[in-house]
Amino acid sequence: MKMTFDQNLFTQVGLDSGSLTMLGGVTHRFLEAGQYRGVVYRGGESIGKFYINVDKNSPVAQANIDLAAFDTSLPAPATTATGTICGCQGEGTKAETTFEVNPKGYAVFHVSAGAGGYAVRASKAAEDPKQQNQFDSRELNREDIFSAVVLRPGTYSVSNGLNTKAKGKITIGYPKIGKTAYRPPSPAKIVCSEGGFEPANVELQPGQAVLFQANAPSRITLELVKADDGPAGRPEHTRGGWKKAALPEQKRKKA
Amino acid sequence: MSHITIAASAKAFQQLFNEVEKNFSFTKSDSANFGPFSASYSVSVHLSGGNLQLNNDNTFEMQDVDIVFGTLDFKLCLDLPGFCIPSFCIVPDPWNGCLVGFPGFCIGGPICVDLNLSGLTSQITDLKASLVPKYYVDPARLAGWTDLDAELNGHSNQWQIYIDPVWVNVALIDVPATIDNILVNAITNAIHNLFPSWLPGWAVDLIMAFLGPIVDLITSLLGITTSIAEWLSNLLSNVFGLVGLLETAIADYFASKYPLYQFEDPFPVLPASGGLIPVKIPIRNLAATIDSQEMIVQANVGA
Amino acid sequence: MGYTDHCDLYAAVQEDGINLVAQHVMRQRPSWFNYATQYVSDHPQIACVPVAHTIDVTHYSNPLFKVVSPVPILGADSPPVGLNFCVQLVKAQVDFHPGNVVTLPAALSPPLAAQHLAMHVKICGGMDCPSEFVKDFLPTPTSYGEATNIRQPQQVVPPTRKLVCFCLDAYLVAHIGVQSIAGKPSLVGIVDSVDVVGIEPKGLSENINCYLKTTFELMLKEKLIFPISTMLFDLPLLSLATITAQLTPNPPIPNNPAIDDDQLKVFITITVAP
Repeated sequence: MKMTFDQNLFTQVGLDSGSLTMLGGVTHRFLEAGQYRGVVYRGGESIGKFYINVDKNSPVAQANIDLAAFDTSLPAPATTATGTICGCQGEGTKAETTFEVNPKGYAVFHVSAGAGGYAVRASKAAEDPKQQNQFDSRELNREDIFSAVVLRPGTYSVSNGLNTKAKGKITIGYPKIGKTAYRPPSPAKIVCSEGGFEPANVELQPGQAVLFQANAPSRITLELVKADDGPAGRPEHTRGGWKKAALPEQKRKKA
Repeated sequence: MSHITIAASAKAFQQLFNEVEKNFSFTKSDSANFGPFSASYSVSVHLSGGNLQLNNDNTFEMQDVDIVFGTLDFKLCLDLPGFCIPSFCIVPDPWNGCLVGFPGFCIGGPICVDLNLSGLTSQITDLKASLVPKYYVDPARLAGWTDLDAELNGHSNQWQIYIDPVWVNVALIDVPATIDNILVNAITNAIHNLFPSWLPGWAVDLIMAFLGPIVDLITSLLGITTSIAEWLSNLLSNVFGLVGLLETAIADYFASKYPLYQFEDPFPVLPASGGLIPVKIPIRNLAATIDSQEMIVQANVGA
Repeated sequence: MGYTDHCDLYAAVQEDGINLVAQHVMRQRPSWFNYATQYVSDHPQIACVPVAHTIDVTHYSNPLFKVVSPVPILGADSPPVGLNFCVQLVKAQVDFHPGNVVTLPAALSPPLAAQHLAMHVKICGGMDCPSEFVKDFLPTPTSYGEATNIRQPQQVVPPTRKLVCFCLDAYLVAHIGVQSIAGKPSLVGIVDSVDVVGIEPKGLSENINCYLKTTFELMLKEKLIFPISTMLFDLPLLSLATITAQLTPNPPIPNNPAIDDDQLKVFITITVAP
C-alpha cells in the first residue's frame, strides 16, 4: 500500500503571492458593502468568476474561496486522506460562484490542490470610478495578508516585486526527529512597508507559517537560495527492500 | 556376574549424548492476532553442547545445552488504522485559525516487517534423566520369520537404550537488546516503503519527524512496558509457548525418538561370508545404569 | 573403583558368556567344526555325533559339513580307494584365568598362567572299516602297466553304513592378542600349547598335538577373529569421524586386552577432535 500525497506540496519550493499555490494564500478585507465581482486567473488566463456580497447584515466573518475549484483542468475536487483539512469551510466542494461576508470580515483566497499559479482580481460590480475598492492579489496592500508555509528546508530570499528596497531572508531548519512527535510552531509575522520587511531575517521551522502583512504595495516572492538537505551522509530515500537483520553474537546466559 | 559388561566414562557418555542431541530437530510455525498487532513465526531448532554431570542416583544431568534457532523467521504486522499525522496549518488565517492545512494522512493498513532472527539461542538449563533399555520389535516383522529372516528383510529386533527425562527446563529465548534497533529500523523501512518513490528525502524526514520516535510508536502500539527484547522474548517463549513446546519436544525426543545406543538382537558377531549365514548372538537382560563415574551396560548371552 | 578409571570405554566378556557364544557359532557355522567326506555329508545320520545347528542353517542351504576327500588307502591305485570319515569338534569350553572350569592336564603345566585362557575341546571322529568291500574287491585290469594313454580309474569309496567312532579330549592354553584386520583392531587367539589326553605312544601324541595346535592356530587366525567393536555392540561412538579410539596403553593399563577375573577385558581411550 502506498500513501497518496499531492506532489505539488513537495516539488514547489518557491512562493509568489501573485501566483498562489497550495503553500500560500491571501486574505483581503472588503471594507465597503456592496456586490463585488471577482475573476480567477491561472497565469494570464481567466478561468472563472465569482461574486462576493459584502453585507453589513451578514453573519459571515470569513469567506473561504478555493481558487482551485475554478480550475476545470483539475480532475476532481481536492480531498485528503483524512477528508477534511483543518475544518475549513468550503473545501472539497464545487466552486461556488457567490459568496457572502460581513464588511468587517475577511475573504480568504487559497488553493486546495494542484499546481496552483492562481491570481484573483475583484472589484465592485457597480460603477466605481475611483476603483477604490479594487483588489488584485498580484498587488497586495491595505493590510492584505499573504500566508505562506515553506516546507523545503533551506535558505530563501524574500523580495517585494513592488518595492526594490524590500529584501529579506528566511531560513527553514531541517526537520529533526525529537523525543516527541514534531508539530510546527505558531506562525511568524513579517510586516511589508515602504521601508522594507520588518523583520528582514526570520528563522522558521519546517511547516511553520509566516504571515506577510502588506502595509504598502506588495508582491511577495520567496526563492530558494540554498537548499538544506540535512546531515551529511543521510541515506538516500529508496525502497527499503528486504534486508537480513544481522544479529550480534549471542552471549550465554548463565544461570 | 553378567556375561557382558560395557562401561563408558563421563567423557565418552558426553560424546554419546552429543550425538543424540545432534540429531534433534524441531520445526514449528504459528501465527496469532493480538488485536493491535499480529505476529507469526517459523522456527527450526537444533541442540548443541552442554555440560554433563553423572549422579550416584542412577541419573545424569545436562546443563547449558544450547538451543540454536537455525531458522527463526518472525513476522510482525502492526495494524495502524487511524494512526494519522494530524494536519498542520499551511495557510493560517489572521486569528490563529487555519484556512489551508497540510493534509493529515494516516499510516494506514497493516505494516508488516519480517525479521530474520536466525541464530538466536535459548538453553536447556537443566535436563535430568536416567537410562531405560527398551526392546523394539519391528511391527513389520512377520510372525513366521526367524531372526535371520528379519535381519535380511530389514526388520530385525533392536535393543535400545533411551534417555528417560525426569525433567527438562528450557530458558526463555535470549533476545539481544539490539533487537530494539533492528525492529525500529525494520518498522522505519516499512513506513518508508509506504511513501511514494518521488518523495524527496527532506520530505521523508519531515514526515518522520511528525511521526516522532519510532521506538515510542512501536512500544505504544504493541503495549510494551518493558524492553522490546524482553517483550519479544516473552512473546515467543510464553505467549506463543515456544519454551513449553520445546520442553515437550525435547523430552519426547530423548524418551522415544532417538536412542542413546541401539543394536540388533540377535547381535551379529560374524558377518555372512562365502554363502554362510551371519552368526548372531541373542542378548538378554540388558540393563543400563549410571553412577557418578560412568555409564554401565550389562547383558547376558542367551542360550 | 570404576570400570573406566583409566580409560573411556571398557568391555568385558565373562567366560560363561563366551562359552555360549561358542555354542552359537558352532550351531550357526557347523561346517567350520564338522568335516566329512561327501558320502557322510550326504548321510549325516552316520556321523559320529549329530550336528547341532539352527533352522537357518538348513533354511539358507548352509552345509553341515565341510566336505573333504576320503582317506586314501595307501598302495591301492587300481583303482585308488578312499575311505569315508568324519571329524567333529563337538564341544568347546573356555576358562579365563583364574582356571576354575577346565582341569588342565599335567602336560600343560597347571595352574593356568595369568593373562591366559584354557580351553577344553572335545573332538570326535570316525572312519569306515570296509571289510566286506575288500573281500569282494577285484582290481581293475586297465590299471595294470604303464599305458599312459589310458585314463586312470576313478577313486572308489566304499559305501558306508557305519563309521567307527572315537572321541578325544584336547586341552589348549592360549592368550589373546590384537591384530588389525581391515583397519579394525581385532582380537585374535594365540595358541600356546595343546595336549590330547591318553594318546600313546609319545610320538603319535606329539604328532596329534602338533596337528591340532596348527589347526587351532590357523582357525583362530582365519576365522574366529572378532573386531573389538563387537565387544561394545558396535557402539556408535567408535564410528564417529571426530573420535579416535585406541587401546589404552601401558601404563596405565598393564594388560590390554586382559584376561582375569574369569573375563576377557578390553580398555579403550578415546580422543575427541576439536
